[in-house]
Amino acid sequence: MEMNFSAWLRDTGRLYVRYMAVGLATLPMALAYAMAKQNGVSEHILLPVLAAAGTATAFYAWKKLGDKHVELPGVLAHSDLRWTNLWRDVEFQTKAAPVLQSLYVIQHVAATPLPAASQEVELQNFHLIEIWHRKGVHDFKQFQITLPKEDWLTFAITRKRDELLEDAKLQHKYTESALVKPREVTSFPQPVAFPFIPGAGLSLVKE
Amino acid sequence: MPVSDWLELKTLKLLSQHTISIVAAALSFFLVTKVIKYAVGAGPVAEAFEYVDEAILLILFLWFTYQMLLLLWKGRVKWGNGNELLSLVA
Repeated sequence: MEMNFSAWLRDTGRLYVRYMAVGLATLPMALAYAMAKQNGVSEHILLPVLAAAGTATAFYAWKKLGDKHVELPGVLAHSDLRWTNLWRDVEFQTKAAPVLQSLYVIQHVAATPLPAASQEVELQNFHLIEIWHRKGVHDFKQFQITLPKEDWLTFAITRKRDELLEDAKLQHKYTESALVKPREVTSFPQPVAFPFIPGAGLSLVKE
Repeated sequence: MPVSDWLELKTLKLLSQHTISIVAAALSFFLVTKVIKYAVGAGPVAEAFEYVDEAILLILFLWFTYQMLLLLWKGRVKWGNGNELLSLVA
């Protein structure tokens, strides 16, 4: 409970900083608005211009600060008993299904190893993993990344979402000729919850 | 669509965080300009700072409204994104 509250407080503090940044970024426009208003410029002109320019600046400042929220604290995860139980189940599930045809879904990111037949790159100790990043209702970005074959799922879980995506982008950049280029995905499979962890949120998706 | 689909717990939590943050930020700007106005005394500079305050609060309010609508829109989309994991590991 204490931990939840501190996390909530930390996130609220970050949001406060972001709102303050938005306010500070629009300060030059506010000064211009004040000067124009003192010189008798009509509000009918000033207000729309201020709103448009201010919103654009706010958007930039908000994006620039970025969302630093860590959605899956991987380091903490290993020390938690409940996580350990979850972990064991995940490993069991992985071993029980050697031919993985399911998606691992966590936080707007879905990853799956590609079937061998469709792989353009077959490395001895690595799996070519396909990653979907869901950015909106119909907005998907797809990346591919090579991860250790033995524990690709372990790797995917312990990595933070942004790191995983960053790695995928970098790998794609440096091995562009070997990898399939990202393509837009038009449909996204619906997740099915793990039957052994009701409501745990870790989901496997049948392709 | 029932209200519970739009206002699930995570969305409510985010709404409260945004509301507290925007109120704190608006109060901060309001207090700072109040202090500046008090320091410079009555005159055109104080009047200018009043307009600056007005403009900043207006933009903050617009941005907050946009964020609220965005949160409500996102909260509408349910697809099991693993947020429940946080309650397991936290």
